[in-house]
Amino acid sequence: MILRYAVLIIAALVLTPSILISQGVTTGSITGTIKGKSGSVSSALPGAMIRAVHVATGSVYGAVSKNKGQFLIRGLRPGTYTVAISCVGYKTDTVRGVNVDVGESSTVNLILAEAASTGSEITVSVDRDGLFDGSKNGSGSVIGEAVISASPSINRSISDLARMNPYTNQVSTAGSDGLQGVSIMGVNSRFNNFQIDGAVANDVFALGSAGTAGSQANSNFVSLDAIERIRVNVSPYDIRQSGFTGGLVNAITRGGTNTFNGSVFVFGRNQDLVGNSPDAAARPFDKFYDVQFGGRVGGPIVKDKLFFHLTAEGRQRSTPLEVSLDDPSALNNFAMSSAVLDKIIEITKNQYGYDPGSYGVTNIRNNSTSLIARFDYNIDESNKVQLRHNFTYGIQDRNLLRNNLNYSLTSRMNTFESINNQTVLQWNARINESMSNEFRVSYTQTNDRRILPSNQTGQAIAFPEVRIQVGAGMNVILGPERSSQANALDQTLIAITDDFTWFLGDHTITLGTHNEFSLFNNLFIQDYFGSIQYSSVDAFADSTANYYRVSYANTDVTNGNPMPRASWSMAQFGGYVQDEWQIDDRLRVVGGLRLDIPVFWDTPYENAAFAAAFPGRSTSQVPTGVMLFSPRIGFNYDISGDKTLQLRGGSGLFTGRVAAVWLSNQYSNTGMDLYRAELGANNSPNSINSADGTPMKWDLTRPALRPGDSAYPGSAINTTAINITDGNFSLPQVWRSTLATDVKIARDVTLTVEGMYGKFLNQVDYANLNLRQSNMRYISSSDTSVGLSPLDGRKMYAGGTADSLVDRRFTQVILLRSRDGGQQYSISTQLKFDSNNEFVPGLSGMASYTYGRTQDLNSSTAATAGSQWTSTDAIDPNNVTVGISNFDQLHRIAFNATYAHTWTAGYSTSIGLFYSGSSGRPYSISYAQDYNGDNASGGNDLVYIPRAEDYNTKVVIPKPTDASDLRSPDQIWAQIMELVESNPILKSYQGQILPRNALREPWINQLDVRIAQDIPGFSDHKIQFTLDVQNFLNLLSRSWGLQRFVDFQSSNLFGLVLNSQNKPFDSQGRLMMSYTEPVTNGQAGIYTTDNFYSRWRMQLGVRYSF
Amino acid sequence: MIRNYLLSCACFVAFLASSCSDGVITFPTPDPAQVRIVNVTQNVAVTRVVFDSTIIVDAQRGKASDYVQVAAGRPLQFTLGSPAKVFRSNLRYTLGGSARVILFARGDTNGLVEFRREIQDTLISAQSPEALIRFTHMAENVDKAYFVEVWSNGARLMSQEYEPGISSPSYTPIKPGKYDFEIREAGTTNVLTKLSNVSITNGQSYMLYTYDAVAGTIDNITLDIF
Repeated sequence: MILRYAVLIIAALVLTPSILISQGVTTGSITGTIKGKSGSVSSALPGAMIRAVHVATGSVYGAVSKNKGQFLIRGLRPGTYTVAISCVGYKTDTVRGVNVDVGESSTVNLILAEAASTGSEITVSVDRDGLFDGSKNGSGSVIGEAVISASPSINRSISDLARMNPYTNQVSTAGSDGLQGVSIMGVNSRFNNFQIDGAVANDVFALGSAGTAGSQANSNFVSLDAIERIRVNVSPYDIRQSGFTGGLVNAITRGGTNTFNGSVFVFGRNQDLVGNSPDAAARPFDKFYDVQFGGRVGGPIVKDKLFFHLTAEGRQRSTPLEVSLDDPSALNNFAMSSAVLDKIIEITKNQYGYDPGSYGVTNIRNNSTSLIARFDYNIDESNKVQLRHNFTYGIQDRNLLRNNLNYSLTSRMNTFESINNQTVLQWNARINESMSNEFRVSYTQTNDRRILPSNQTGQAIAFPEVRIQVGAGMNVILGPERSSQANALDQTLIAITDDFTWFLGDHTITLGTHNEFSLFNNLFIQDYFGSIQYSSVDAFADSTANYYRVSYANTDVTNGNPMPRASWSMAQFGGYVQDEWQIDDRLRVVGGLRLDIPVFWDTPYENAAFAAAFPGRSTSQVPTGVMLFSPRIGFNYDISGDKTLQLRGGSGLFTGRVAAVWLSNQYSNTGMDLYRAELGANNSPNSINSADGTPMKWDLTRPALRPGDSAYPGSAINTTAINITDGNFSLPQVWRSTLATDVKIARDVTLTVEGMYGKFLNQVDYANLNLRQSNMRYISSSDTSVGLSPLDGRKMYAGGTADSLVDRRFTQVILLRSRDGGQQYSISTQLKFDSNNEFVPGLSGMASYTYGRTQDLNSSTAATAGSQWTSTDAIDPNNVTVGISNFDQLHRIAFNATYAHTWTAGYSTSIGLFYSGSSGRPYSISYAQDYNGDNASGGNDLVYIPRAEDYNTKVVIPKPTDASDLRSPDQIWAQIMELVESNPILKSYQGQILPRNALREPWINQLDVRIAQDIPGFSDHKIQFTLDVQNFLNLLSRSWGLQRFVDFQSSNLFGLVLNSQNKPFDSQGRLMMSYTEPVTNGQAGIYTTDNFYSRWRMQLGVRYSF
Repeated sequence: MIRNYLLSCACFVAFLASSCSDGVITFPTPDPAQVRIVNVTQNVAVTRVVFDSTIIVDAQRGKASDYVQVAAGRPLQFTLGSPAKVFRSNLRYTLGGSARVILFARGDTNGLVEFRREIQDTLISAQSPEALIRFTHMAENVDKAYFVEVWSNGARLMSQEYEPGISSPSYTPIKPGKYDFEIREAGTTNVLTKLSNVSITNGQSYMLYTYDAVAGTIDNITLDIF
């Protein structure tokens, strides 16, 4: 038997492939020591039988105590247990109400009395507090069923619960009602590991920001009704838990019990349950609805043997996109007359025969359906099997970009469809008194696609994305969004996990393997129908464009397929060993070593021309076989000896994951299967004009022009972007150490002080290899600082000049690589109180203050390699330095509490609230223009903070060329100095480059409340009415609860004046600056007040439980 | 002991929280600028300019409004029209701190246009024994009055000739007293319009301006001062 298991484990370890590491723990355990009392002497009692019965299901688990009386029962379904201990010659005893939580170990210590003795001399010690569980060493928390049901949540998402952990912060998509991801320890949610029952439920490709599967369509992967517990782990030193450098969120689903029960519910809201806009106009929300409905039922199929639990949930939502036209009083205003848009619509219809759609308030449709079925089968006392299937279908209208600079007509919109299926099989087995095994296999299939507006035959209408400039930086956009024109993704994930445990008394050995396979089939051809830009409405009417892009297949390589997909697969093998050593009654130490090895099964196309141009680099090189070791050690020491004061901690490496899209970029950008043409760009060798130099007329009724077409400018050459991955690229890791102390300061009141420090290894990092350093001398011909900024010494590139690129056949050549760098540290104080506390009985919750700092190289907020490279504001984008993370938390005060009061039998009122007060997000200041010639659009160059003495020596202010700017250079300089010297951070960096993310958005207060009223039904049925209020503070006062942010966490506060060579220096090498106090959405300043999250929102609900 | 521990924690939190707002930029506001509106339109009885959606300035035809304070240092959005209708929106200036701007509104009810001048009225000290005067030719329907000269008390006051709306006037010193101002066709003694018995006070600057007396008539111009 043992041999069979050993063979199974080794086979799994060696033969099974995998993808991205991620695994978790889905069960709990009971441990303890059994002693026998003979006279007045107590001694260890080996051979005692321990039977633990899961009260709800009658499931039985057993163990036999070892030589020193120790026992361990693993693989327990979370819940309440009755533990019976028997031993020949001693009185049998039963301990009731032993709570077992996921990933935790409950302790039951007993001293049995001799059978011949009289009276009750049994001594029982049961620890029901997971915090004082001897196996707890790192940082983590469990959110139980009671908290889940009582806490406020409108989106009914797991992140609304996970945010209660002190190290988390919800990451919202500004201005939308979308799902919010959870940043943990100041790290992008993409680096979290999100699981359902220990099975991967991440958005593995990671195009969305929420980080969960299905979140791209703004749908929950699993109904909150199906969730029984949520575990948030930040530094678990249990070697089995891995796959993150942020944190691990593991949601445990409900299972059936011996009792039939269930409920049906409906939650709803509309525009009358949303506050007015947070501006002077105080406008009511436009027509809106959001309905969530569903139910769950569970029970026995065969009593004590076989159970089922089913949950179904649907959601129908229609949310207005509120951006006004030519209405200065509106918070979100596109300052352009509707007559301009009418003119564009008329031209598009009459001249190009295309219906561009409409303007005005447009509602975004967002529907979802989720089904989950779980079956639990107790084969016998030693074998338990769980089978779960989860199905999610979601659609959401997307890409209707509207803000103060861009206004899309509805033809730009498409519908994102996401279908997710996941099947998980878990088998928990007790092999003998000392050995047990947990095996889990999961199969996950995700199919995403974008449905474009189609013609009568169902074919997507082939029309380019058209961008028409209608004002300074203002564009009207129509036609299918350029990244959606050919975009679909199919993912298949298979994960196999096996944990073998060998209990040796003082030592518990775990030997395990976790392996994942990933198969991706990605269609992504940006500008498949083309994208084209016009400098004015007149130019649009005249068909003379100023910028054109198209991508198309090289059918010689793709075997005639015009829409080739990047089809590739990878695996990740993981194996680990761990020893949990109970040194004595007070001290437990755990140590383990884990090895992960990613393997790529497929290689991208080899581009010989690229390899020749960039020696040592290859488009077909993939980082396969890089071994990653993760040693960890943790401890728990019961200082007081009675579990009222403990010291715990640990240190170890956690190997994380990367968004698959970052790896997939290489497969989609080899320059072999897809060609890209670009006309009219600043640094493109290709002019958009006709061969004779006259403006070319573009006929948008024809298919997108490509090189080789007769109408295509004859001198144009093919260019392409290249994405490659360094051969030594490794998955990111963090070496995270924890030291904490917990003290019980009163009954059911615990104070924790916890500190953590982490060091990042193998951070995701990018470089554009096609950039050439400038050879310019800025001050004089004798200037020795060739290619360096004369102001601050930063490296200058040759952008803006004719020979700015290493090889003009390529646009960006983006290298994905790993670099060590960055750190995180935090200190947190947490006060936990349970409902049995002596101060306010019935009140439970936690209050915490956390100070945290996270510094990284690249916060990885984008999907494409080019955006990943440019989205990090830097001094040198090819050698970014460590800076504050975009997700850095700094200060956070969190408070959550639930309180229930029963009026009379069956009539009870409960209140749940959650408060989070936190520092605003960090942001950078970069120049709007290209300072260093790196050709990066959007402004990624960090600013130099001038000093008073720099005026006219190192910095000059040219007289504004804008006729409406009546200020003198002296007045502008005075404004700059007043600004710089008024802010402590800016002032401290005078004469230097302001580091990335040095500034903060304003402090954010959020208070959410839930009130629930229970009314008894017949029998033991119950009706519950609920009211959820999000941003309750805004309900109290219109000026409270405002959430203000800086777009993309980067402000182009200072401008540059470029010379004829597109450089920001005058002939004396002085920086030519400009500055105007910014106006955002019609208000002075750089902060946008979120038009959605700044309002209070309510949701009403009713639930019938039986 | 627990109490001391909690107190220490509270002090620590307060210390850390005290630095919460360091990185939050609040923009210092330059001293406000001032703007005055002059209605030199053909036929709009009252022009209305609305700054930042909140500050409303009205001017009767041919007259100038008082100065109003507006924000400086950032783009100042404004609309131009009458109390009944907005003729132009999305207009903007960026003004320096303490700047003074005179905004001439021209055109007619079919389309108002704005014409700007940056005028530093504070150039002269209130204790100066002299005054300053400048001239802007804002009449539009002109033939003989296309080039004009400014005379006062029978003498040429300013040496240059003025074109409608284009010339950027400079200040000319003028002694306090009573004046009769004349606008003459350039190079002739033909007086097109005049303004009599104007009191000029020391330490102040003045703007003399013309505009069309009656819409649609040629060389029918009138003269005013503020």
